[in-house]
Amino acid sequence: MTNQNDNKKHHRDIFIVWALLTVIGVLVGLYATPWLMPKSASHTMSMGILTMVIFTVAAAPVAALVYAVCLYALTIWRHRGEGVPADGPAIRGNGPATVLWLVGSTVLTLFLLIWGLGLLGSDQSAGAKASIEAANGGSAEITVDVTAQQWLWSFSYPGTHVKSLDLYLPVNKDVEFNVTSKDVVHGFWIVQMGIKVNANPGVITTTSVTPDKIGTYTIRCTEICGLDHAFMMTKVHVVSEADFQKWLASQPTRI
Amino acid sequence: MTVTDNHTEHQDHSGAHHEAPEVVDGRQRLAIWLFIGGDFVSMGALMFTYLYLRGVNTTNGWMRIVGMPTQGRTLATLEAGDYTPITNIESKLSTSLNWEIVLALVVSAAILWIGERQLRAARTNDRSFPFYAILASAAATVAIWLQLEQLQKVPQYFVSSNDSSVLMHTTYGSAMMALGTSAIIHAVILILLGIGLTIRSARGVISHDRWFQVRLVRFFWVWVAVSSVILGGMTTLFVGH
Amino acid sequence: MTTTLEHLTPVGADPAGGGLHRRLNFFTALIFGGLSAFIAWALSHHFLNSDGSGFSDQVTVLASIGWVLGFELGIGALTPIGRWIIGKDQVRDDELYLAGKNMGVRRHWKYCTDHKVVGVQYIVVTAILLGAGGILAMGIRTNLMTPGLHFVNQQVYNSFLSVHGMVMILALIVAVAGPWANFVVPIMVGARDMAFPRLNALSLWTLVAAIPLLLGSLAIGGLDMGWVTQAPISEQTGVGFDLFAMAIVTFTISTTVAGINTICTVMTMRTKGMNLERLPIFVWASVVAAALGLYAFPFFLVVMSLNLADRMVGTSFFVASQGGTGWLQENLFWLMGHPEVYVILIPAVGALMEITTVFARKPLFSYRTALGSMVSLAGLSALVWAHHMFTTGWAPSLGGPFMVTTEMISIPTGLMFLVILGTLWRGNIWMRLPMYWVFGFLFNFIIGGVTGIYLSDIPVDNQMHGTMFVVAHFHYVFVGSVLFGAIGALCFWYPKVTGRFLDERLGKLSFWLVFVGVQVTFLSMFVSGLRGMSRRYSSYEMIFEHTNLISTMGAYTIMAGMLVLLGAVITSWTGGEPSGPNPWKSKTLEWLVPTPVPLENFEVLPVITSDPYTYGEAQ
Repeated sequence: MTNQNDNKKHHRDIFIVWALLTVIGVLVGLYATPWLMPKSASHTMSMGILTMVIFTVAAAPVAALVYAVCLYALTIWRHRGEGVPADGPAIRGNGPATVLWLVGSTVLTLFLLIWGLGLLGSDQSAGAKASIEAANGGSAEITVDVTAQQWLWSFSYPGTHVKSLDLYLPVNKDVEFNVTSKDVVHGFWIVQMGIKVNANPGVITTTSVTPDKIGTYTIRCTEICGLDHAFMMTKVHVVSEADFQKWLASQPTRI
Repeated sequence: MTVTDNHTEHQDHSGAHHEAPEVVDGRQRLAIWLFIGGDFVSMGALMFTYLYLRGVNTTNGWMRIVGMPTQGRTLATLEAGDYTPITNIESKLSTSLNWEIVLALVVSAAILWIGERQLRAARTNDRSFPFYAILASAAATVAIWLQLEQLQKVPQYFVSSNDSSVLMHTTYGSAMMALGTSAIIHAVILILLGIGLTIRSARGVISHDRWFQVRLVRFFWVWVAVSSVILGGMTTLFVGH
Repeated sequence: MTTTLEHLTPVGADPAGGGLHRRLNFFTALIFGGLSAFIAWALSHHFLNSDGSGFSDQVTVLASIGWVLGFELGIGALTPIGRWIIGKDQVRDDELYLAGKNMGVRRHWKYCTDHKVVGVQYIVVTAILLGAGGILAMGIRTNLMTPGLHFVNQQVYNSFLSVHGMVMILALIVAVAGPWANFVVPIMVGARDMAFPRLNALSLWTLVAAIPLLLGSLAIGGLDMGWVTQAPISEQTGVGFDLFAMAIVTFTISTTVAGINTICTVMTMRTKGMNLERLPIFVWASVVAAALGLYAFPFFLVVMSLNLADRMVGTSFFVASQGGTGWLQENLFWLMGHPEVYVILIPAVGALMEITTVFARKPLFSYRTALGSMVSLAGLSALVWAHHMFTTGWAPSLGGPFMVTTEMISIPTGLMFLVILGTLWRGNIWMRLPMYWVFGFLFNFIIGGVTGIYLSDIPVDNQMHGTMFVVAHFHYVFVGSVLFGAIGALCFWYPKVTGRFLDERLGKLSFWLVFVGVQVTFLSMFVSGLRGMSRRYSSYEMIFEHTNLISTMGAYTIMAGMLVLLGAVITSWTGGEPSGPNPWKSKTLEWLVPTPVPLENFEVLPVITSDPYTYGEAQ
């Protein structure tokens, strides 16, 4: 019966297209993703980029399967000619195919979940920790109080009397941010370090990160906060420990 | 699919395709239950609001009055220099009124239910139902009046910001206002339904033979009473902070 | 068919007030609505305390209520309620009048209970909403073509994006369900009309009443809170917000009524032999979406009401200094917001599944999987809402559980792909216009769906939340998937509504313009987001200028495509090639009745002996 051979032929041809598309997708995942993302300035960000790469690579075969079947349907199975096509085979379902799909998608989902949960649990700075009381440092080596307002960021360093519109951080030191807002909700995001937490009025939320590269990076607001939301950005300067102390000392004392 | 004469419908000489009253009633009952379901979700949303605000208690503000209580004064008199000292600001709304409102709603539902049973059991010429319906509506009106009385005592205070003063309420007060407003809206719907039932039964549209719509209304009416018990319980048990 | 119980001996009946009442239409509704709004405005202006900080909000809200009530009165939607209360139920003559018997085209301008007329009215409403939202989108993209606010200022831009979001959300909620759950579903189940025809007309006109409120919010202006109306900015923002919120409150009433109607129709009005497993999958999609909407939209009603209360009367629900919290607003909003996107998605997928069976000439692959995936998608969607709040700082310990539920949603979503691909498998693919949109959907939905999974992963979300990556993700789903489903449904059922084919050449042109436009606009937008551009930005840094320029060019391409489609819809309505009653040789019931469909659909109600997917099987 030609049906069996037809099916084998379909399977084989679709497999070839699928494999080709998967390779393309994997390459995109491996190379395009990191190339398009900002250069990492923290371990958190590096892990975030890696996660993006893994997810893209994992998604490639799924997308490839859908696209391969579509391409095949558009070419091989396409009805050519005038008028209504004849009926196709009365395939009401396929138990093995359904089970395979279900199991496959579950396994893939579990894999992504385990990776994500593992990353979430292991890296303290990946999660935003909220607390009602002002955080007093805990395990962090530096604490910075971040205050958001319409439409600027200001920073103060508890334990010193430094208040500044500039954010300076020493490299390779774990820093904890206590973030709050004076008015509406703002989003505190250090783009190259992969951390983000909202600034809410009346509460303090926290996030932490360890910057691992000296340089100047960007802070942008990520929650619409009114007129100048698009202009609410500033820079963070990651410097050596010595330069950081110098900078602190040079700041005027403000009460 | 085949097309054959169905014979489950009867076509009368005006061309209308009729369905048996039980069929229509079954459909309307499903509709009422779905509507009650949606109302149940909104009750859930309000309960979530109340309990969440009480639990989170941002800046300890659940029942704390942070400004100048109005005590019946307007902003104009306050700005003119009326600084009469504050005495005995009751930050909690009356629990007894809470339960009186619930009682009024439960009683109104009971009256309707009894009226319905009377209607269904009675002989064909029993004309007592309109009185039950109007009485149930009256009890719902009492509930509205009591609810308004309770809300009048919500603590209001002025908070000054920059060069103006703003009238505000505690979050507890706000949550009670939301629940109270919802109760009033539901009671108004009940009253309209009750008036409709009264008129319809007085005119004979509703009768011993045609009582389905009374049951539909009763479903909703009892639901409003039940939800008031639930909310009354929540606002009594989970108050202070 | 009657919905009254008193059909045999109409008690207290006389013809529906003749005269004035029968003259009511859309224009009288506008007049009544405008008058009532003005009266409400004037009265509240006069009697309310103008010193209060909530004064302008109170006046605006009361004027909105006046508008809606006046509009409903003026179209005749409140008359059935009034008549019920005073005991004057409708008689056969009223019923036929309200159904628009022998009234011609003008019945489309009136309160008409015929579900087919309501369906056409929803097509018009959808077109208006998509058009308004589309114009706003062009405003947004034109401003973002270059950095530096060269088109509009920040205030106008923020207002554009807030209203664009809400208008498009409304448009998509009704895009498939509005026209097709109304026009097609009753016929598909073998009924003569919806369960509650008068409520059907009410739900349509209530939605129409909401539109001027929503668009009017833009006119009054000052909206800078986005469509998600986060507090506290939504409490600070201009008076336009009150119209915005009242539009939503009005909409939730419309959609609740419509949802109840759909469910009751399918559950209680199926013809003999139409048991649940013989229902077309689109019918199930409509029911599941309606049920999910019944769960979700009450949250919308509550959150908007609380927001309005804070503005009007000084409650402190979302005011942190008085004990409230913006997190309450976000929770309530997203408890609605996430199920709502599945309310939007499921009917579109259902329609596409229906189209696929017809144009592959095959049964639906695994009917039970299709149904199961829709139901589990709907159920799970109630458990994922806080993935929109991963970076808010609220309940970090709940991050893990919400990550789990959100990633699990990918499983039923994936099964939907299986159903469509399985239906295509070894079919005879008939590439007519509706089928183009199916393939476009498959291409786009993979991208939209996968990028959603990225966002469900918290470490990734910490980077991507609030950036253009998110915007590109949901536009791939809303535009690339849902809109494609809506347009596919339109192309598919167009011959049933009009008796003519939608112009295939113009339709295919619009497909390619929209499809290519979507890729250009939103792939470039992914790059903007990956590179670090935040969303809701009225201007941006120079590093984002190329990707934004490309996105804008893509957006103009989409606009061109949609205009071509609009032109095709309008010209083909009366000038297209005649199609006959069943041009696609489909087996669902709506194709087996004549075109135009008779007033009460069926001469005699059919008796069903199989499902409508018997392609390739001996009859």
